[in-house]
Amino acid sequence: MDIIKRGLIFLLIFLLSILVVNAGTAEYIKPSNLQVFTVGDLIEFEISVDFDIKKASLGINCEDDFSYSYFEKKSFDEPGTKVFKTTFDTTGRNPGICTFNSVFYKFEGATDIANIITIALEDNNELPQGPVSVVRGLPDSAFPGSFVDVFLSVIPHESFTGIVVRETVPDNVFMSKYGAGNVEVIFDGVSLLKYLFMSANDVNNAVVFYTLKLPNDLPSGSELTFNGDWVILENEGEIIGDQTITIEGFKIPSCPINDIELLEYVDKWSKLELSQNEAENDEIMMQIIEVWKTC
Amino acid sequence: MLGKLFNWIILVVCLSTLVLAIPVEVTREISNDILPGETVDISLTINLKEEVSSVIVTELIPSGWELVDSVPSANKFPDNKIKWLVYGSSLKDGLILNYALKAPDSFSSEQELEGIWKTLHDENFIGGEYLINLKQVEEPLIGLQEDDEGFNTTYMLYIFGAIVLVLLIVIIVLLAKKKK
Repeated sequence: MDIIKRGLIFLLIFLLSILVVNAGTAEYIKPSNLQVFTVGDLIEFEISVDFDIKKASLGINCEDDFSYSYFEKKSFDEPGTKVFKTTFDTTGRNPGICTFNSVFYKFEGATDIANIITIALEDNNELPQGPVSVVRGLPDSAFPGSFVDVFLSVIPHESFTGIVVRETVPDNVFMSKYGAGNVEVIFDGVSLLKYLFMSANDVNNAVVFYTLKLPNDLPSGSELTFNGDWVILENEGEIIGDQTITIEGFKIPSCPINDIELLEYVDKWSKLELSQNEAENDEIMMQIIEVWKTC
Repeated sequence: MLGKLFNWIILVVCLSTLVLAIPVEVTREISNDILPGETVDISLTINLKEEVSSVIVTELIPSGWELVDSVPSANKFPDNKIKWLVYGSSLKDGLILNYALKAPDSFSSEQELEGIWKTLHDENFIGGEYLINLKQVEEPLIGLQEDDEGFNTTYMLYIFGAIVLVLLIVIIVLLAKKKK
């Protein structure tokens, strides 16, 4: 019994040390992870570190973007700055889920990378005044045959101990991934996906995502439509936000993709021939590899 | 007691999972300080926290610097970018991408590097070292500096030391003879 106790204490110390080592020192004071903003808001950033900042870079990536765009790069000539502040204007951005990444450069020559944080950017006119809002985030368009991430942001406006979100995915698409950390999720194997948000206290704001694999014979210009609703005790409502994806662009090849074909695609990638847009070129290449891996 | 301990362990495991959710980490190491015109070796280590199908690592080559070598071979892209596409059996935890840059004939005291990695679902900065430092040319030792008359003071010190040493040996020998 004593050995078991000692073993468990050792395991606890080991896990705590992993936690400390991986925690990093850059911490967001503002905004908080999963905070909800409306289009037009000025998002205030305040990030604290435990060293003197020489340079800081911040990037944003929303659903329609292939890559992060860096909206803040600031250098400091002298040591003394330990809290970095900046703002991001959301005017003109599309509603949806956005992530921010940031890196801080030390005078000594090393970097500290903060954890990625996620925010939901909503259209204020669309948010109903009900007890709960569940907002779907989709890219405007997707390549036929590609893997697509679908985000669902759950925003309780009152206190609840349980919310069920039911999502119906379009016909003829394949569910690739739907795990959501500590949120219980059930997929019926065809088209219905259920997320169960439960808490002994209150359900907090949350963002979950699932990944679909689209068929590659979808005609260009066609649309995929999503439907869903949420349920709480004595109330229910529709999922709002994005409802359709337009199919267009590069046709991602389907299985089988042999090694020679893959190398030909890699060659095209290296010459920017999959797309003239560099970020799109990268995206197409990684989509092809994702398919190749599953063949 | 044991029950409480289990609860703590479960809590810590959950927290650890949250913190380790970043699927990939890429860390840069810069070999040494260099003089203008010299070559510096840089390595990028890929650590996989989750299974991913592919990783694209992009480094921005500073203006005026030249890529002289890369293992595995990097692909050159417009705007001074080099990229590695890693996938399949070559994508392993701990994989190291090496490259060497030749410095221009003149550069200020330091040169910053920046780069990113991306997977199909994620993207972030390359961490680790980011400064290539200009090697400090060693100052000549004060003792070796010649004075105004062109006389090297170091040699004076050597000669003085040798005389003292010889004198010590002589004294020791004389004392030893006296004892006899």
